[in-house]
Amino acid sequence: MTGAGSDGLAVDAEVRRGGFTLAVSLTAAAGQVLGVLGPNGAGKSTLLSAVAGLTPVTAGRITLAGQVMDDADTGTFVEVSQRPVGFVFQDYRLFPHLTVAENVAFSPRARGLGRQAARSAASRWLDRLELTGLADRKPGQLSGGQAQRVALARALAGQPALLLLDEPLSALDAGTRLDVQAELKRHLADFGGPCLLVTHDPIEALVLADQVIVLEAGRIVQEGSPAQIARQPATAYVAKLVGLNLYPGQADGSQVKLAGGGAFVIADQGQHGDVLVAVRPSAVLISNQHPQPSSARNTWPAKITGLTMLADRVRLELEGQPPALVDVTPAAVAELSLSPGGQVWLTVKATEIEVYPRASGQPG
Amino acid sequence: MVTRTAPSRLTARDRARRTARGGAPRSVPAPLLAPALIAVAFLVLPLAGLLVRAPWGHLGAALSGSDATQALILSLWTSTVTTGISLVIGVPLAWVLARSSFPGRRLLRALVTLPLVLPPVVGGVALLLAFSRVGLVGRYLDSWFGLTIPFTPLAVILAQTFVAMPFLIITVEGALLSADQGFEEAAATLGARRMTVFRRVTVPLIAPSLAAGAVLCWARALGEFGATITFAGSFPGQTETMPIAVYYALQTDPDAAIALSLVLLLVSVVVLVSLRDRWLRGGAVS
Repeated sequence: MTGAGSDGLAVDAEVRRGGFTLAVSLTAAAGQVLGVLGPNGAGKSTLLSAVAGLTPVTAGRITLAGQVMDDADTGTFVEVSQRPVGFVFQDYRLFPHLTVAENVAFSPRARGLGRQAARSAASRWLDRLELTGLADRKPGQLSGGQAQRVALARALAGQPALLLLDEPLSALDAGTRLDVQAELKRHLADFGGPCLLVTHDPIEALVLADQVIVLEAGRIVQEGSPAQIARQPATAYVAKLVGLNLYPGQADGSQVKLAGGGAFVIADQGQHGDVLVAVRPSAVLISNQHPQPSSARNTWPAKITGLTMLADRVRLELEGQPPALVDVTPAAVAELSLSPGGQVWLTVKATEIEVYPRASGQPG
Repeated sequence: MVTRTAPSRLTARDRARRTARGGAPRSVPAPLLAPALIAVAFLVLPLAGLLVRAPWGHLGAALSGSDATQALILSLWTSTVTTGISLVIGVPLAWVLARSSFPGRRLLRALVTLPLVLPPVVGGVALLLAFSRVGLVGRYLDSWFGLTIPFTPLAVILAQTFVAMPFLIITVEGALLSADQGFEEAAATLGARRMTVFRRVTVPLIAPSLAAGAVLCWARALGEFGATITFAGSFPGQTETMPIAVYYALQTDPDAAIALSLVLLLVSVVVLVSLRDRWLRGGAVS
């Protein structure tokens, strides 16, 4: 492994647990927020607990800031309490019998500071995260957003070299999530070490992370910048998360033959071989009759199989060659009398189609 | 096909209650009611008899006429010491049983809880065999330290600890098993070593169960009879605890026995009240 830098995190390891195997190789540089995106059961939490030292790796090694934390070959293992790691748990796990201030002072105290020094370290962090007013409360008296901030303050107060966040916003209601997210982004920017942020919410990963890896069934299936992941998803799971139609196919210059049937004319002439084709649901036009010859190059018939109301639009599910998700306005649904079972024509301009190479061995 | 329905009466009170809480009728079917009432009568009548037969007029005299005060004081302090010892050595054992894994852990658990089902007299005999002047351990205590345990207050404490400590252990072990270990994990990631985790997180989190287990242990120690009389005997002021005093008083001075029993009943009620959150509500309480 290279590229972690002297302050970075490098994981090149396998964790086997029952029938499940997590096998990942990743690096996170100091100051970088690495988002780990994946469905439930993909191994995200296993990854965090291996890095924290709660689960020893079965094979391979984990290094942090140039120090070996865990190495299955040499048998080196640094116990959880000795790792310079701050962990913000999904359910926060604030100690219910301690006040907010005592919770935040816990780590400085446990790491060897005297009572007084720990208390003043805690009060600095409370101040920094605007929690001073809540110092004497018990965790039971906090709102979700406040508890999240206390959990972050508690993790940071131990002055960790690495920050681990497990679904940091998932316990919050939708109303407070955006505020807390913006706040969290600010605090993460202040943190000097590498940060691993696990989430199954693509927005969270896209907003908070500098770099994203997608984990599925214990393996990394895609890595890239948030923008790359959002524009060119590598798997059906990611495509669904970011709301794109995704088709694997074979490119041949100006055309892509789709693996599931159908073909697209594309604007990018340089593509050959295994590719993925991504199409935004709002880029697909829908009409009742075969459209008159137009500048759009891709037209095919399809049958409506479902309609779902989204916030301000209606998402149609269509069966055809290829099948597609299409977003239209409620007015269009009424005007075109779109209903399940209806036959329609779909049209996509070649310039609206994103075509990119498919890594070998990757599913569509 | 129309099924004929058989209407029954629903009083306004029942109607309101069932509307508010929902659910099935609350009345008890006769085949369950009769045995339930018998059970209640069986449990309550003897206690009622105790209250009825109590020499209320000269309760003070009945108590002071015997060795009651001595016995009560002995019982109270030995039970308290027993509870202290059980906390000091029983809680760590509960932790070992709940949190560590080693070969023979299940066997150890069975051994530890054996005194719960063992007749206390057998426990007393076993203690005698171990700690008497010729016993397995006792002979060394005697020859090395000149320490003779049987028939001393120390023997009372050992007998009570043998019988009562398992109550504390299983209560605390249960609490440790059901406690959310996520907090302990969190403490470890915050840099706390295992002893710090135990002291600052585990113990405070199970404090209610710890208190309940201690009260239970204390109450059991207070009521201990069989092992005590076997291993420690019944010397007034030395090893004659309340239950033993009650037993002897009943043969010579029934009024004193009843008065002593009332005192123990009162103590039991206090214990029950202090544990009401755990038991009276029937379900598990955090």
